[in-house]
Amino acid sequence: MNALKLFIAVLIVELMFIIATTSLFIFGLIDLPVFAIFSVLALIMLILTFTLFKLIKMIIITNRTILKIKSEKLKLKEVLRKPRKRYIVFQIVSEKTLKTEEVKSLINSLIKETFGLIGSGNINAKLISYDEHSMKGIIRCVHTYKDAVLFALALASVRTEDRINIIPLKTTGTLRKAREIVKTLSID
Amino acid sequence: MEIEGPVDFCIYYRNPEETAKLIKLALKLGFKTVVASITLKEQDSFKELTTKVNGLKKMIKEHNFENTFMRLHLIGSDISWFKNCLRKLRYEFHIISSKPLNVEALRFIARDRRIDSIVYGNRELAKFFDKSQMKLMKNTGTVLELQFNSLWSSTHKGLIFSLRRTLGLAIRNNVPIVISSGSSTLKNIKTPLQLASLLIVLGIPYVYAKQAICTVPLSVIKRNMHRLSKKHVEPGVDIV
Repeated sequence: MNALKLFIAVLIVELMFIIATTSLFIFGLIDLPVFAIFSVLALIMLILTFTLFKLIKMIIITNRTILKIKSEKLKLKEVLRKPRKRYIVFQIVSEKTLKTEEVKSLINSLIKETFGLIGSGNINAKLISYDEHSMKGIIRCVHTYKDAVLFALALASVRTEDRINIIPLKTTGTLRKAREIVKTLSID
Repeated sequence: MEIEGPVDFCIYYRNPEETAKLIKLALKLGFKTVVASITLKEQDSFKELTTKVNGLKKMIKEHNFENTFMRLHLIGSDISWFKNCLRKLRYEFHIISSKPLNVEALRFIARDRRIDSIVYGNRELAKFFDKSQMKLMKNTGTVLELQFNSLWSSTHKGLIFSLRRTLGLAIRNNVPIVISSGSSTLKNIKTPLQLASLLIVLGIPYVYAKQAICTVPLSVIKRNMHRLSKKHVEPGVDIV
């Protein structure tokens, strides 16, 4: 926009110069050879200004495109990056003891119901381990969808009409640390 | 005593034993400040409320909960009833919240400075949380509150859409948002991260989600603590 404004301003100045030299020639204040030189100069300046304007415009467009490509490359890099894992340690609050299969199906149905087929595929949640005695377990998921899993777990009490509550205790990046947390941390 | 976040802005009071257990668990799960809420409906009597308040006060004192505050949750549709309740009970509680059941009450509550938060829950009123409502709420400093457990009471159809629309309007109009668990038993208590995940799943940045469970509820509590102190005379006038 600024380049266009500059171009218009320079164009106006050059046109004024041409009008001035023409009027001077008409009134006989300058000779034909001088007028011819001035006219050629003005024409050259006009062509130069136009070419420069086009060049500046091209540079701006190219820069914008480069920036866009760079940001898209970054996005693509983030998508293509190997997904890191997160381990969510949880504890179940329920009156009756739940078996591993029951917990597995509950978590899978919660995630599938909340986020659908594509969402659950992206989340890739899996019950790694579950202790029926202490009702504590570990869920593995993709690091970018950690909040989605927490949200789905929060809906457990809603879905079971306050019979089962899944409380996430901690999130870690390694399974070893998650297993240590299972041993030490508890809400009881 | 220093108040810190994250804050569970609403834990419903049922009986002293269960509420004490609930507060203990909430503090264990990572909340540093808890607000125990007593519900008052139009048909409830004030005598019942007084016994509940005394029970809650006694429980807080017995268990020595330092960062636990009391809140009154008004549910009704009659404006004169709201006015009466506010006149009688404003100085008894740290926080006053409301869940209006019709549009007139919703507009009245948004205009009243004595009410700290409006609970978003009634699906029929979702379309009335519009630009004008947000402007009224912004002028009075009222907070928009989402109670996690009461959001999903019936079918989820249309809820996400209306929730996202309301949240977008609130953020655009600079209306503060608070997320609370709204839990009443051990079976529906939530962790701070679970509360924040609601906003994150709806596409709202983590910064706003963090504010909704830490900064905003803390500022509301601090504001009301100052209002209830003896130094405060009226808005803008304090005894130094």
